[in-house]
Formats: sequence, structure tokens, C-alpha cells
Amino acid sequence: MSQRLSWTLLLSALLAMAGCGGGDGGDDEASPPTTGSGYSWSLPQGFPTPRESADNPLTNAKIELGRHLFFDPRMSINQTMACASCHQPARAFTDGRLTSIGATGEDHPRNAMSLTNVVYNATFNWANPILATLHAQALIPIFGEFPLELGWSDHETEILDRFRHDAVYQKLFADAYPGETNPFNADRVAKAIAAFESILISGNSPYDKATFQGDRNAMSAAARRGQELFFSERMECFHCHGGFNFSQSVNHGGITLAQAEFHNNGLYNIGGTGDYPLNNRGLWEFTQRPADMGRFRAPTLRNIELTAPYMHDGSIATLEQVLDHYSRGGRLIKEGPLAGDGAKSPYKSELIVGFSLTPQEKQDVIAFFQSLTDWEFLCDPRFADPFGNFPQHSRCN
Amino acid sequence: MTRSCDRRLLFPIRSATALGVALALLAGCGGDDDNGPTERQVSVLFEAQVDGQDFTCGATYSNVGIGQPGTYQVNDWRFYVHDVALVKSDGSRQALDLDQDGVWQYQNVALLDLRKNCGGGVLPSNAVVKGAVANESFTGVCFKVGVPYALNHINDATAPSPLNSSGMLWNWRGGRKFIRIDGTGAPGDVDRATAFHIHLGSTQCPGSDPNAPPTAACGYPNIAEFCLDNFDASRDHIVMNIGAALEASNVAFNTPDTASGCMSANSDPECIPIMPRLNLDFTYVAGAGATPEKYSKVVPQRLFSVHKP
Repeated sequence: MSQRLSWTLLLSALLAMAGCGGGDGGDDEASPPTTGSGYSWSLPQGFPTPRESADNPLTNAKIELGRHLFFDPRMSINQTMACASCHQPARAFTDGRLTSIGATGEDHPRNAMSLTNVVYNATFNWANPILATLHAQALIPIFGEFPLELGWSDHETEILDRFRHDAVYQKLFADAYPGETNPFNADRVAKAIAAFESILISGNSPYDKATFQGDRNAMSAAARRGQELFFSERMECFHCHGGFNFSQSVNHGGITLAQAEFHNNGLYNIGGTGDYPLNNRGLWEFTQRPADMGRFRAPTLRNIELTAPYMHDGSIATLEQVLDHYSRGGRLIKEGPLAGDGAKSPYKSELIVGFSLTPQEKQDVIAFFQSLTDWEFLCDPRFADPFGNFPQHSRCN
Repeated sequence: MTRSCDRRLLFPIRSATALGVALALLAGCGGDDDNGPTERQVSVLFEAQVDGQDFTCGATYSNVGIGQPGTYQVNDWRFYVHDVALVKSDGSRQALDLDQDGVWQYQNVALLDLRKNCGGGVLPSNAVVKGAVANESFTGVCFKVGVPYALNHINDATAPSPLNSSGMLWNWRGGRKFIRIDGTGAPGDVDRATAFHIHLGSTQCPGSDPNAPPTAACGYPNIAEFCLDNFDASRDHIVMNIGAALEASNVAFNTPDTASGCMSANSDPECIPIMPRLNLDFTYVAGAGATPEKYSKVVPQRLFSVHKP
């Protein structure tokens, strides 16, 4: 108890100093943190203040517009899918598919990423080093043609007219963008969706209650044993999935150094050359540097229990198999066009070296992963579909 | 806590200095005596080398360590220093009062990031420690590698930069990686390529929860001080040569089921030749019931040296 107390004192002293030295105000952790635009964050205990995008100030009205657009199937060319089709609330904002499918049935090469804590990402998508903001990211599924996702390209006016002529949206847009004569454009749509996504903050899992909220018993004994393994040099998990968000690729108001990281985790080594499948080569697609072959961003592990299947291409079905993959230090594909031993890829991260776990230890690590599931987040009414098409998890009822 | 209070007092003074400089510049009289007669700004420059060759990511260095083939590639090179001081000829020290730049330096700690051509895009890098020191003449430099205990175990989520650098995190209980060198022995050789890192940090930090600060000081803080003579901060560089740390290691071999290379663990055989070459005494314990083996630091240290232009 006493070390917990002195820890608190130390932290308060540090924060007080940060306030004293900075002189720019507005980032005081003692009162609820607000953005430059005056939006008041609702943050879990111990969490840093997110960085507000300078050209997309947050307001409650903009978030509410974004929530409607996010869940509205009218956002797609043929009115069949919404953002929420691939980012379903019941699955921690993923879709349960190996790889996603666009509005007209085209296959996307990648697995839908969870939107849990996207506001804390250093970069967006699986391996895009240049997308700097959530609203820039939102334009990709909106306009993407190869593959076609929502299908706005060449149909922008037609889709925007659906909102322009809807009384509910007229008010939502007017409230979100007061004083603007024509807020019905893709930029304003993307920014509203980004505003909604940026409040999808998860930090009240059993792990958080034990770690940040002083309730040591919130985690089971098995989860605590698994935590010890997760943070051991034997498993090395935390080198890529470290820090409060379980991803080293992190950004927030206190970060002044870019923390973008991409890793090759030994999934493929086609023909022993280190190659990945043509449509999924990760960071290499941007840089063409051999060392960037198969490098992807390590996603957060929060709510990971609900986001199967795993990896950038959904090629691992369960958390047990994910552990088997890392235990071997890479995946062996014995035959077929993708044959090769990922464990021997010349581009594999040096931190993926394999380990062995007893069956009991494996279950403990899984229990630890499950302790990262945040039911308050998953059942938060602020994140619910206003149209009732995409239900929250059955456990929320 | 006393240290915190000291720092709080420093801020107004430093702001006043900055204000003075700004006013001087506005008045068009900006000379080279911006810090007044009693203090001057000093930059202590670091550079990374592998046995005399400049470091760059992706380059393969030869004759590293004692094993065969002795080739080695490095893909990360970062480390923390603190308590940087210049030393006068009589041996007395003047601590650098570090610029509180909000990025690379916080209180008495600085992060050096010597990565070059690592990863796609431009990574932030920093090869210099900047601060103010008394305007006197100095002949040497001292610094400690690592993060002091009071700052090492604070929550990464709310820690100030550079203590929130995610790649340098170990975990809450263990604190930061003091040195992060990620490397591969025998790179490009499919059968022999071996991940071989040096991750230095505190070990034996007591506590049952990896995500809480330790309940008491760490059994092995693993913070070493380095003092170099004949150093002129205005011209000289400090070279960090990772080849010296690896000179007795086989970088193409790692004991199975232990961390790749040496991550400071007291049970890792790869740490036996490395830790003493980081200017640290090392205690190796093979396993439960085994007699601890003591390995004294190698004197003189050769990890850091002064490079004259």
C-alpha cells in the first residue's frame, strides 16, 4: 500500500513539474483533460491524453454525426455496407473474416483491423507509414477502388445527396459544422467519422482495473501468471506489443518522438527468398527496401479475444495458434505456391526467436489475453449503432 | 523528491535566461556570450562505431567477437545517459544542466538515438547531449549509462519524452532499456543467422506484478559510470564501439531458451562476456540452487572512447 502511495506522489510531482515547465497549459492531468477545441476526453485511469488533430477539432456534435455515418449503410455505393460492416461493435470493431469484402463483393487483401484505441496509433492501416491522421485514413475505404470498399469514386455527389436531403442529417451536419454553407462533402464526412473513431478508447479491462485502478483481484491467478510470461524475455511479446496500449507503435499528446514501428513476424518466406505474397508485402510496398518485406504494424492486443482471425491476412484462426506460430519462431508452409519457412526469413524481426510453453503456460497466456477484454468499452452506449443494424456483443444485453 | 524541488526552482531561472537571450537578439546585439559570463552552452557529441567503422543499419561488419564467421549486422542503436558532467584538471566535476527540450532530454536524462538508415522513412535521431555548464576549462567528461531509479519505473503512458519512447520500454517493473542494440550474427546465412542483441537494463527488481513499479530498489541496477580524459567538448566526439562489448562473444550462437544475445538476465550465459564489458560487475546464476558466479568488470573499459577530429 505504501509503495502504491509513494508512486502516486512521485507521479503527481512529475505531472506538476510538467505543468510548471511547459507553460503552454491545457494538458493538466488533474482535471479531465480537454482538447484545444474544448472537447472533454473521457479517459480511463492512467491513460495519456490523445493528440487532437489540428485540422479536425473534436466536438460532441461532430462525434454524433460521425457515429451516424459510421453505422449507416447509405455510406456505400449500393447501400449494402457501412464502416461498421467490417468494424462490427460486437467483435471489437472487426468483422470475423479472414479478409474483408467490399460493397460490390471485391476481396480486400487484408484483415479488418480493430478500431480499439486507434486514436493512440502512430500510423494507420497495417503497414502505411504516411497516413498521418484518422481522417486521412477514413478517405481510403471511402474512395478506394482497388479493391472497391465503399465505392465513392465517381459517385460522390450521388452518395452525398442521400445525406443532403435527409432532415436528420441536415441537423447533424449543421451542428457539427456550424456556419458552413455546404458541409456535405467527403472531407467533412471523413472528419466526422474520424472524430467518432477517436473516442473508441478502451481502458477498463480486468488488466486495467488491476494495473491502473488498484483492484489487484480483477485479474485471475491464471491471467497474472500469463502476464508474467508475456513480459518475460523468454517470450519477448512485449518488444512489439509493449506499453500501455500493447503496441509500440503509439502516439499521444505526450509523445514528441515518432514511434512508428513495423515488423516482419515470419509468416512467409516464399521459396526461401523472404518474399511475402504479391498482394501483401507490408511496408515494402511503400519503400521497396528489401528489409521492409513483410513488415507490418503490431496492432494493439486490447480486446484481442474478440478479433479473430489474426494477422494482416487473417491467416491464423485462434489465439492458441498465434502462440504456436510465435513459439516456432515463424510459420512453415510445406507446399504450394507460398511454400517456405518463415522462421528462416532473412527479413524476420530479430526479436522473434521462438520459445516453448507447457500446455498450462499456454492457457495462462490466453487467460492474460482475455484479461484485456473490456466489457465497459464493448457495451458503451456512446459507441452503439443509432439505427440498430449492428448490435453490440450479446453479453451487453 | 528533493531533486524534483530543485528542478522546479530551476525553471524560472532558465526562462529568465531565455528571455534575456531573446531580448538581446531583438536588440540586434546577439553576440557569442548568450549565456552570460558564468555559464556556457555545451554540446556533448556521440557517435556509433563497430570496431572503427561508422555504424549504419544494414551494413555487415566483419571480425566481430570470437566466433566464426564473425559477421554482424545492427538494426537499432539507442541508449540513455544521465548525470553528464565535465571534469576539471583537479578532478572536480561540473554537472551539465541539461536543456529541457521536451524531446530528447528530461531532468538529468538524455536519450541518444544513433540509428542511421534504419527502417523506412526518416527516423528521429539524436547524437548530442546539450546543456549549460560553468564557464571554466575542463579536461574530461563523465556520464552514466541508463535512467536513474526515480525515473526508470514511471508509467510509460504518462511519462514525459524521452522516457515514453516505446521502443525503449521494458515493462513497468523492469523500467527502460538503458541500451538497445538489435543485431544479427552471421547475417544472410540461412542456417547460421542468429539474433544477437544487447539490451541493458536493471534486473532483480522486486515485485509480483510486471505492470507496477518495483517494491524496492532493483537488485542489480546495472548503471555504470564512464569517465573519459582528454576530452574537449568543443571539438571531440565520444565514440561508442559495440564491437568492444562483443569482443569475447560468439555472435552467431545463442544458448537455446535464453534471450537472444544478452538482455541483462543473470541466468543468461551470453551475458557473461558482455556485461563486464559494459563496465558492470556481473553475477551469473545458472539455475535454482546453482552457486552464483561473479564476473568483475573489465578494466579499463573500452566501450566508450574519445575521438579527436
